Amino acid sequence: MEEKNNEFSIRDLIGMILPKLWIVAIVSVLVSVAVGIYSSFFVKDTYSTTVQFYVHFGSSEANTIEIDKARQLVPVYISAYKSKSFGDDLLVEVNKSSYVKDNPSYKNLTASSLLSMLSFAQDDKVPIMYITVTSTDNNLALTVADALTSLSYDFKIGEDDSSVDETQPEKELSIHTLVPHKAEFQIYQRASLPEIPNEKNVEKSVVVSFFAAAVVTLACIVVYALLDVTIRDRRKLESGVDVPVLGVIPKHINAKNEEGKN
Amino acid sequence: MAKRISVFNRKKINDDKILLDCLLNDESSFAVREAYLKLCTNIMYIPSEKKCKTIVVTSAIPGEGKDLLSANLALTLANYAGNNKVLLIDSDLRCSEISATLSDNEIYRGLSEYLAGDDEEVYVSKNSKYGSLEVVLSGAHSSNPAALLSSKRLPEAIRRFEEAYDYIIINVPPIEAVTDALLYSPIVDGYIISTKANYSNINRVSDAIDSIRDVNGKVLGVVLTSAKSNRSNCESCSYGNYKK
Repeated sequence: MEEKNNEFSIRDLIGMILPKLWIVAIVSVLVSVAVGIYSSFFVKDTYSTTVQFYVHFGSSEANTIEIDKARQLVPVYISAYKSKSFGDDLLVEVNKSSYVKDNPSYKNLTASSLLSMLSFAQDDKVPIMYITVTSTDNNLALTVADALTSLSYDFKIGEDDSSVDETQPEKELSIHTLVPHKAEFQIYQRASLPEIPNEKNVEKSVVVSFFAAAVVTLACIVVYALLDVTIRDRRKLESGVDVPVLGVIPKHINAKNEEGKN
Repeated sequence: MAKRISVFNRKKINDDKILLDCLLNDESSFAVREAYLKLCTNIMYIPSEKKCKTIVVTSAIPGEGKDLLSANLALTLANYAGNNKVLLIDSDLRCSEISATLSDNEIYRGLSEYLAGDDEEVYVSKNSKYGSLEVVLSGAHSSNPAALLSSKRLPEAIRRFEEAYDYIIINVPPIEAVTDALLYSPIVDGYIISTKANYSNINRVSDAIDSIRDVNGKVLGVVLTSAKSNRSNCESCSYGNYKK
């Protein structure tokens, strides 16, 4: 008995996708329009403010080696800022502010919600760290940024080797053990109250959603076609049964009708 | 005695108009006629020890175009593919569109009268509209068709027809619906299964093939009907002087 040909060729794939391209186009356009409308009219404006910190080793004449070392410390600071313990400290600091105290809607602020407002960046050449605070409330963004600034005064990183008491039992891994040299951490630029909301980037959302919808729709079409057992053409019939296909009869159209159409 | 069959009166209004319109004639499109000729050629080259080829046309489920396929296959063999003596037997005793379409009037006799013993010989009708094609209509008896088809008179009739004809095309009900089609397995050369594009299910067709094989029947092949015309079909429509 002849073995059934169950292989799936690119020709089959194109054959099943091409007739359904209109579905892909319609779904993609609808999704992107929906995303565009949602982004434009339903997504709240967000405000961002950035505080900048400068890392150095305290020497008055910093050379390129020290700058490079300091720059390498920035990721360590970023890790420290992302830690839960810092989030707890930040929450305490933010809760001290009058704006949060006076605003009852912020009574349920959590450390993780505050940390989710932060985004970090590093300069490529100089040891400057950027912490951007984003919120739908510009005053809250500034409050959090100010809290970051306040905490940075207590943010002592690195200690003299002499201060480490090796006789003490091993402590929890902290930023002190991560930084080998004594480094200083200075505020380079304070945050200011953001008055203009961030650009919504609707175009980007629309384009991304269009292509995402197209890919998902195509995938659905392919999966549906693979699972479909309806006989569409001779190839499908030949691959599905182990007997010869004796003939393929096209749809019946009388010659008169055919000429009439032409 | 011939009887009036009211069930056909109802069907005529709806379905057989469509079947009649699609029967092969000089006005049928070139692509369709060529497709049937190719099918006939393939059938002609199926090796057979007998002079006459007896072929059952069936389908897995209703609505797959077996009535039209068997009628047009018989018409092509009779009128377009050489001077063959062709007999079309409408053995769909339950719901026959062919008999309703090909009969000149609504009072007719056919296979069921012979199987029930009402007639001594099978009544073969011939209509000049369909050229040299001869037809055995299903007849008026519609009660217990399976019992009628199990009668010993059926193989006897087929044997007699095989001596007189080159091709016998037998239209039977769908395999999944009733057992009638399988009753022919010991007395025919093979089965052709009609499938309809964008309608038939490959699993059901496979099941139908298995059912035929389970009763030691031979499946000659499958035919895809209502297929979408592709580019090559269109090109062939206007190929040289062979359009008409």
